[in-house]
Amino acid sequence: MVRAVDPAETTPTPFAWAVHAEGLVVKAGKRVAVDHLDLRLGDGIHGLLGPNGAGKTTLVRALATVLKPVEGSLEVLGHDLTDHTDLRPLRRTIGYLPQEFGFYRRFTLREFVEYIAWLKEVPASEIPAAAQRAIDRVGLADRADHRMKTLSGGMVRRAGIAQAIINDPRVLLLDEPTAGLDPDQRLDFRALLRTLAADTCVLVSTHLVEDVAAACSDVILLDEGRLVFSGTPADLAEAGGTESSEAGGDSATERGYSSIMRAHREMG
Amino acid sequence: MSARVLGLELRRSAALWAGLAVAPAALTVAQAGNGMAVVIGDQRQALILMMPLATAVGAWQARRDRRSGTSDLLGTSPRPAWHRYAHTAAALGIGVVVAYALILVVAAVFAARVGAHYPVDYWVKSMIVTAWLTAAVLLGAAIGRAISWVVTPPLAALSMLVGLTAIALFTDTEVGPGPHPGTWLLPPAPSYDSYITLLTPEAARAQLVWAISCAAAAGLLYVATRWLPLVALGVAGAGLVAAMTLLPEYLHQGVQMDETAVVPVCTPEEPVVCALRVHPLVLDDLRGPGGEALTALSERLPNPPNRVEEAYYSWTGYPDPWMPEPARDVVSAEIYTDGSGRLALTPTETLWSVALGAGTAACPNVPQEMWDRDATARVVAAAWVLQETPPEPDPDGYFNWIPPPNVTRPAYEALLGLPEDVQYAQVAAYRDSALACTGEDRLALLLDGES
Repeated sequence: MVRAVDPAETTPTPFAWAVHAEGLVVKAGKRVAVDHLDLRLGDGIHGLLGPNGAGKTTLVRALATVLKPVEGSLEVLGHDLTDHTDLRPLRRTIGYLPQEFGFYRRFTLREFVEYIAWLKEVPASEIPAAAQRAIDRVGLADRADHRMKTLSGGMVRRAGIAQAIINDPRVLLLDEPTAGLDPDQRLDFRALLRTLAADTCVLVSTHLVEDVAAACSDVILLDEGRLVFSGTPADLAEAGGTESSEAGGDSATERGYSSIMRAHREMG
Repeated sequence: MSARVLGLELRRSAALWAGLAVAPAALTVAQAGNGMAVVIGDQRQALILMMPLATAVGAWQARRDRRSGTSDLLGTSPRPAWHRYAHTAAALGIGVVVAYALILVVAAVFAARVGAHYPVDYWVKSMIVTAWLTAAVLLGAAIGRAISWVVTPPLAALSMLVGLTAIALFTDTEVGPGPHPGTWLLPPAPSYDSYITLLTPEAARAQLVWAISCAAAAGLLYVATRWLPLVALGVAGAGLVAAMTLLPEYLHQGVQMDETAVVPVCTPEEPVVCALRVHPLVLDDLRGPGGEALTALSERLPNPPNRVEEAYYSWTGYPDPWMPEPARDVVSAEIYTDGSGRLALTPTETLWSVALGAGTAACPNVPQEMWDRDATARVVAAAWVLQETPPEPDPDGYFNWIPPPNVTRPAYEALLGLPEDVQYAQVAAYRDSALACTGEDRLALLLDGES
């Protein structure tokens, strides 16, 4: 299906970066989870890596407008998120898959995606086609009219991705999108990401280093809320050295990840 | 309002369960034979059960986001949250209203099939019940949204049940100037409202205004963000003030007689027996025993009655009850009907009910200390007319008020012990007194010839 191009989509943007953070501090409860982070993200697929508790989910939630920064600046598509007023225009342009993806169990997949489309203020006349397109893109067309509660874990994750892309977002935030997907589905997911990357800023938070290596145009490493590394997957792989080096991991990218994290902790 | 989302909520939310909350109202369909006024009256009383159920369903629905863990996802959507809540509220309201309307339609069809009475204010009373049900389900939703615990639905329902039961138990609805007219504003209506009464226009308007404002306030509370709770309180407060100004001065002035309900419907041929317009099916059951009683009365009394009419009375005319004027040629018989509108008495009980007091209705002004003596006189007079021994009291039946045989039978034998012409004269004098409802000791008049 060919999508009509909105004139707004071809209008030059008044901002340099889709995501721009300077000295960003975000708390998760009382704990500082993102600590003076500087970040600039443009269109493309950005992998967000880090150990558990690194602040990945907190950063994604701040970008999704769930959490309000407590310090520093944060702009998404030129909207200042340090002041949570009039978020409505921005939210229309964001797609978000939370780490804990909640859904209404009694809805069918199609109903749920259409419901999210309505919440994202997709024009009513476009909702059925948009929902069908999103469901097709995640490979769940044959399950479209099944109740959400009957879907497997992997299918639910794909349903989550479908609802996240229903509004053709300019910024797509995916928190652990490949959790529960089998190898074939992960390959399909990477292919989907590549089709989105042309005019979208996609941030994929994951702990699967190989997903980042395979699908992302650049990588961000967080540890204890701080930026540890920013570069391309090739840069990350290079940091790992050879198979015989001390860094653990089966692939060059994993070794690079381990090497950088270890070096950062030894310095800290 | 999005039709697509509303349809979705109707299918997938608790709207269908909200419909089931009105299931107790379905039981009242069994009363359709007694007319829609009885059906609606019973439904109004059934609010004691239906409102807690509706509250629980609303509270359950409002916990959906918490149950589903969708707060992050939905909290970041551009559409304001109240849009979502408004659609859910509409679905819950529609669920309740449609289910209740279906029950009303079924009851109306049953009532129509037996020719039962449809007073105009049947619609007004049903709208009041509908508004209270809607208020309950939306209040439950507001509570469930504010306090999103697992135990919230049962606790909300229990609180509603306890509250309404307490209201029903402790509200003073005695006839007279004592009770506050605000009692009309409580969900279960005072018991003045019966099958032969209509709400006065003022009382109907007051109840409608108050119930609708409660429903609107509950809806606003549910969808509320920021300042809307204050608006909800304002709506409820304005509704209460408007309703209070519409209410009559005294509680009993909230109803008026439905004069069309008590129009007699009579058999076209002898013996002439008549039922109220609300009970047309009674005629078939009343004709045989009623005719037999008329024959007995004509054989034993001078100027005997020539027709039997179903008795009725209502306190709408306080301090005087509204009841048929006593007439020498008419027996005003106290009979009972079942839910289908048929006579609930056996032929024997019907026969006695017509013959009681030698074909007279019970007087409403008998002092309490004279009740047993007056009842004994009524039974003895009937026994003399029918030439049968007074029946024994039946605790579970029509004769539950009859004094015991050790009272009635000696009195009956005493009457039979008098010379025959004296018996006839004293029964005739007794009947004159019973028709006039003068304040005499009518048992003494019957047995001794003087009170």
